Amino acid sequence: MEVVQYKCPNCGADLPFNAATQGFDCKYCDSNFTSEQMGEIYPSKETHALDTAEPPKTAEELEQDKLFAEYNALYNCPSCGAAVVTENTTSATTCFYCHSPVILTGRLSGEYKPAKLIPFQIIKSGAEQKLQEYCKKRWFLPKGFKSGATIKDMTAIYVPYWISDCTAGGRITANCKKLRKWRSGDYMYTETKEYIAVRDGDMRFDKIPHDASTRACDTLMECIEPFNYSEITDFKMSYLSGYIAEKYDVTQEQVYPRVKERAVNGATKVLKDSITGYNSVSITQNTIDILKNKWSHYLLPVWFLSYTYQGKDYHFAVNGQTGKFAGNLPIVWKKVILTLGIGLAVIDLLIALFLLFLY
Amino acid sequence: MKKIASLVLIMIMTVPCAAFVLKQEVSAAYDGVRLFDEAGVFDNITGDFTVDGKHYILLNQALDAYLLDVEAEVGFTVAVVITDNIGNNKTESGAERYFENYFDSKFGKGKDGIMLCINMDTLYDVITVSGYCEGVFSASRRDAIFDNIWSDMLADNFASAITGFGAGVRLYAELGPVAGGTNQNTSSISMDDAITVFVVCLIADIIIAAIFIAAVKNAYKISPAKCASNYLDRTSIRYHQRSDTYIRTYVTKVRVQSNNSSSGRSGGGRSGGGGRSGGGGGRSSGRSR
Repeated sequence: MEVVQYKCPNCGADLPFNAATQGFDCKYCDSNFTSEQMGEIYPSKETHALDTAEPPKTAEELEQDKLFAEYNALYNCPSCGAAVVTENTTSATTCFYCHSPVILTGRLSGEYKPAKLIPFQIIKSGAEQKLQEYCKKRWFLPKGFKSGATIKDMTAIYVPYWISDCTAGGRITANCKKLRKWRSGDYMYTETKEYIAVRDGDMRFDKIPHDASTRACDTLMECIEPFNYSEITDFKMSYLSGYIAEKYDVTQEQVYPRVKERAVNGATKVLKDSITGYNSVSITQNTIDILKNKWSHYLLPVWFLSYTYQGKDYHFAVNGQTGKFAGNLPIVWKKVILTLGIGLAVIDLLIALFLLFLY
Repeated sequence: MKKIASLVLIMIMTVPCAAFVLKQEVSAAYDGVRLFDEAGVFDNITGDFTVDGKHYILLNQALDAYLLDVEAEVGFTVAVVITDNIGNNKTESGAERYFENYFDSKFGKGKDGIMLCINMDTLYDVITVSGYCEGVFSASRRDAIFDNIWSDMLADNFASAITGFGAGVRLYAELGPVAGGTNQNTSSISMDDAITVFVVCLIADIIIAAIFIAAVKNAYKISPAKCASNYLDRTSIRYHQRSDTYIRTYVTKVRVQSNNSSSGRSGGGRSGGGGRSGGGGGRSSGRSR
């Protein structure tokens, strides 16, 4: 597997992408380069993906490679020469031995090449701060959860996404009621006026994202939305330097049902909200569907953190652009019960005093 | 001038002292007095009377001791007043009010107690209750006490009526408050009170615990977006049809409770509340004056 590395043209040191400055900063000679400058200095590396396509193999070689390559890949680090195995979806990583950032160009070629990318905006300390803020008012977390040791394990990953630009439309029919009440003598009267409301329309949804990696939890990825697409940029390999990147292993057909569900729900809500002036609205018919759809493939920045508590794994994610945090937090039930017990004891005492004083 | 000033000063200083002393005397007087024979019915009646193993020569002293004995047993004030002058309070309600105020003046407002009022003036006898006793001695129980002593009352045998009154007080004190009555006996907490408090606390605990645990679970878990509202281009919304078609109108009615339902008052005197002494019932007797 061919790999590329971005080195400082002045001193030859590794040149990872810096989310804080949105550029490439050399730690050794303090040189700084923008992505445009990197494109001018290393024009060939952007097209290197095509050049490194592997030559045709024999049937036997393919069969042998099949089992190994199903889950793994082998590459030689250009800096130290170490042979390192990675998972077959990894497109960018760091060498386990010398920690040099490497990009596995073959992985992001052809159909796997992303069209766009949002660079990381949140650096590691920012992600740690977001985690701390999220956990601040949650008193029932395990003691070690907010510690530095846990936070040190945060990993920045460019997650592959399928982006859907779709048009959803259709018709909804609803039974609507207007109520008027009044009292006369010993009776309460209710006047009900019934209507049938019909709304037929269509609308566009721009860039509904759905992660295209089996390794990323779909629910978790949805919870860190939305991404700000105004900061999106054309894909350049150099942005991956210093980060882990994945190639997609989920097809468009596989993500379509969930994207469709979200778009249809959104369109239904819009049409239903346009029915106003009634005390109750009940939808009886809904024929909303996706009318047009166009797919794109993006890489979006996400910080990941895993935590194991009482034998159970907890996964968290921080939006690498906006800093939004999401994840099911572990709960120390002993703390919950203790707090509840003290609170209930105080409440019971107050109730007892109140009742005895009253009677 | 100096002497006048000194006199005035002494008077100013002695008034509060006198009041304090008088109060102490009154308290001292009422501390051991439960029979107020203002009509002088038992004056100079002597004999050999035994109450709780002690011998008394004067009947009024013996009756006093008897009432104190009953009081010691039941835990609230038990008194009797016999009067032949209730002032201008000639009506039944006036008489009840008179004896209520009489009890308050002797023992204090809100004091737990019961008093048999033998009215030689208008012949409208009253049993007045206060505090805790309002819940114990309901109108029917007071009637029962009157029934028990009525023959003695008619025969002007007041000493026997007083002992019969004492027996009735003992009986109903042991039975405790009637169902639905308030228990104002603050000297102890009954088992019923404890069970009520326990049940109320248990229900409150279960509800609060369920809400708290649900809130904690909700705060510690993720909830994904249900729809794609964030990605909607609102300028692209186009309606092909927006119609609301009227179908029909109908009217339903439901009977509701009227606000003017009459609430019957318990018979036999006003109800007390808020610690005030109150509540009592009277009965006209056929006694002759």
